Amino acid sequence: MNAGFLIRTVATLTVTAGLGLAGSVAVDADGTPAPSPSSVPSPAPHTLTLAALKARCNTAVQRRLGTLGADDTFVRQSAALTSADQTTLEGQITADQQELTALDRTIQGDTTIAQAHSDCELIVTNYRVYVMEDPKIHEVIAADGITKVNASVATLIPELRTLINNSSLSATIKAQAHSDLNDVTSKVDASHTSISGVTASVINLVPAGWPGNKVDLQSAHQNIRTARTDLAGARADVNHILQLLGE
Amino acid sequence: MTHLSAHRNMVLSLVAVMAIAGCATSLRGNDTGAGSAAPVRVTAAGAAATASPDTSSVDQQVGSIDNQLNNIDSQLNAANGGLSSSEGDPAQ
Repeated sequence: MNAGFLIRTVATLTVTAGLGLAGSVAVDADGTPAPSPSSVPSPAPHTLTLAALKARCNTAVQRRLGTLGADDTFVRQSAALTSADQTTLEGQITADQQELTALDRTIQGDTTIAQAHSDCELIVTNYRVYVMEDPKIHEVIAADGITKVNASVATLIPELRTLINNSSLSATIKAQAHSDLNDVTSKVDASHTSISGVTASVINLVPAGWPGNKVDLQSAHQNIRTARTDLAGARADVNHILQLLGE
Repeated sequence: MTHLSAHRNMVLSLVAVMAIAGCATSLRGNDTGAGSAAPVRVTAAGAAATASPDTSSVDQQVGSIDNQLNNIDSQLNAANGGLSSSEGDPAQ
């Protein structure tokens, strides 16, 4: 119990510190791509030729398409995602890919630096691929994965109970194993509580809600980490039970 | 007579020796059978009393859970990378 408390405390501190760090770094992200006219870098239209600007915008689009392509592979290959979440994410990724590709065509057809500059900013403001879409996709996969592991461990609990009851272990060791098993149940329950509603809280976040919805991503991330810590404890308990059964 | 008597005694002795030898072989054979069977039963009974339960099914499920947990860790790290990054401004 003390060890579990210590692990939970350390994990909480780690997550808190991590989020604090992420928050401080992400201040730049909040400020950099702001869509207001004041964020438009004044030197750019004057220092870049139209061709150079178009090339930069094209590179920015291609990089984002690369990220979305990798995300799409994760989504398609994930065994953790529910069918509904997989369909939703694939739809969002496909829409972003098609729209970004179309936006690039628009930019490449722009005839003035001002227009190209304005359109180029949409690559950031209309999609938020790096700071929102990509982490959102990873969080949904992780959250669905936690839910799946919760179910797997829940299935394991009665099987372990049967193994303990049918074993030739001494009463003392059996009691120890049952105590571990009760702890597994508690930790899976805690994990279930932490992960409940996490996917729903982020899967439909849209770039228009940025940066306000950043807190939703951070909260989801923390909940997933908490659930993951609970499952790590449950996994350690299961390992201990198996060791007892093997004696 | 003496010769015949001696000869008869020798034959009887041989028969007696063979009979004793036969009985001994038979008894040894029975002992061997009983002896070999008994330890097997004892060993089997002893193994059943102390054997570990078959956890292979659970082990397999635990292995699958470990793989899933590793994937979750990878996804969490990837998400953290996005949360810590900046979108940048391609127009600059």
